[in-house]
Amino acid sequence: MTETLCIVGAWVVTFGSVGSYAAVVILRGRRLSQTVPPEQRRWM
Amino acid sequence: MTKPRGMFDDALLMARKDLQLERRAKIGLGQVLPFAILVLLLFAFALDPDRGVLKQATPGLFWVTVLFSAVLTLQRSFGLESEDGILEALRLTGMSPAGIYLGKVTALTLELLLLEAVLAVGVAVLYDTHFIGIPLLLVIAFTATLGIAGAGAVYGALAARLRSRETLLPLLLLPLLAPVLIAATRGCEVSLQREAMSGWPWAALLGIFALVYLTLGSFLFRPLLEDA
Amino acid sequence: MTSTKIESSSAAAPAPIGTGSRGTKVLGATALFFLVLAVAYGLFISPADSQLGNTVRIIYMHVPTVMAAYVAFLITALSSAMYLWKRTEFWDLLGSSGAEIGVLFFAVTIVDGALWGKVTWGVFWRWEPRLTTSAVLLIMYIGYLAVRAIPADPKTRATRCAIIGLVAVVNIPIVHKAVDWWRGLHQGKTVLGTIHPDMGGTQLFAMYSALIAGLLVCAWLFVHRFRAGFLAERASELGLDQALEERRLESSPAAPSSRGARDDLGGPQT
Repeated sequence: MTETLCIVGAWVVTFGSVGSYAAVVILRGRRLSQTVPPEQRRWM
Repeated sequence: MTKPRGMFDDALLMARKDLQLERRAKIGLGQVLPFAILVLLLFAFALDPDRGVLKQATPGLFWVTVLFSAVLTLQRSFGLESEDGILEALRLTGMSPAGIYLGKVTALTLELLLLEAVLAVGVAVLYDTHFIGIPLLLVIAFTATLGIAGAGAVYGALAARLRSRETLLPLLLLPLLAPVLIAATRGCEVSLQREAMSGWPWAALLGIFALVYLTLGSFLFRPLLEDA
Repeated sequence: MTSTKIESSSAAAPAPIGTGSRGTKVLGATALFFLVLAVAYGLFISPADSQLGNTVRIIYMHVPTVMAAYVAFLITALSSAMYLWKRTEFWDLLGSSGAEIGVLFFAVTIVDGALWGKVTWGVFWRWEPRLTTSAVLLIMYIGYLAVRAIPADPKTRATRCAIIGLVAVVNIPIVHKAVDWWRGLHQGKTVLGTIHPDMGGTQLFAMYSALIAGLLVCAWLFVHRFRAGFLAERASELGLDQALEERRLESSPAAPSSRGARDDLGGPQT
């Protein structure tokens, strides 16, 4: 029982953390790009 | 005219200045040393001298105390500099940054070695430590202290200009010094004949650490002084 | 003010919103493909391991995350050195992105390792070399992020972080050696001694899918994080320009002179 819990837990933590971080970065990027004029938005 | 000053001349100048300041202010003697002894006492309160844990853990406790004392010493050493804008002034005098760095490291090493000597007496008295294998102990103490000072001077200078330096310096420096703690403790345990193996590999590791950080620090001190 | 090279290769195309692009969509789609494979094979299709049982399924993620973390930290190390040499914003942004992504993946690695340990050893933590080194490393890079978060002139902040990046990476082999020697005396089953050559068939496939997926996700995150960092710099520059402009307007000859620019530069600087 603990075994399944740990295995599932590991997958949940991994996907959850990486997924949340990705969401935060993307949303932050969207919010910031609205405050910056179009020609300055990309490094390349 | 005066002949151009080399890096080592600058280092000597810097070390002398720092040591003179310390001799006058006596912060190391008056504050850091009592703090270190206090930590030894606290460990005794926490670990109960009668249970033998204290004796067994002596090398580790000694070096942990040294690390904490080193952080205090560094904060003091660089705190002074940043308060009076001395680092900027030094930069403008044209002293070589590597020289300033090595000078600071020299002064720090000497101050810490003195502290360790007194702490060793403290540990002999309070924890009833018998010192065996003195050559190894001395080499370990010297190389470890050199490494602590070398790495510490870099982060000490970096943290000096930050408002949150009191919390940031330990956070930055102590993980970096983890291998020093491990190597010094294991080496001392061997020396005090608590482990049946050679202690010289640990001393070698400490030597490598010191060498690496002294070299790195000498190169990093210019950008550190100028931009950080 | 660092100069930025902005190529208007997409001058005709509509201005991008956010950090996505066709490149990231392709990258992301590929990563997703391998992720699906990894989940399918890792969690369901591949059998339990002969030696590790079902706990091998945790390893399918533990290895990719640690690899991604190493790649990220390596990039931070290189970027730190390059920044101190070239002093361009590109290297600073790359380095700080790497530190953030590295800390993320590394923390996940440690959690996965702890969960694996709970099943295998019965405890969440054991002072075995890999985990111990990881803990020290993680805290070092958290320190990097702490310094990064301090408001400062971009050049100052970049130099500080580059120095920390270099000092930290140089420490990695030394910590590794010290911990290995130390804990090697009390050898136990290490987490990464688990990839044994008998692993074949669907297990190997799961492992490789997960590894490729992990690295692709890492790359994908890098692009987004880099672009977001770039936008943040541009936004703060604009904010500063705006504030200066407002001050300039305020301090016309008739009006009394105003204070000065924002005081958000941290530390007792001269």
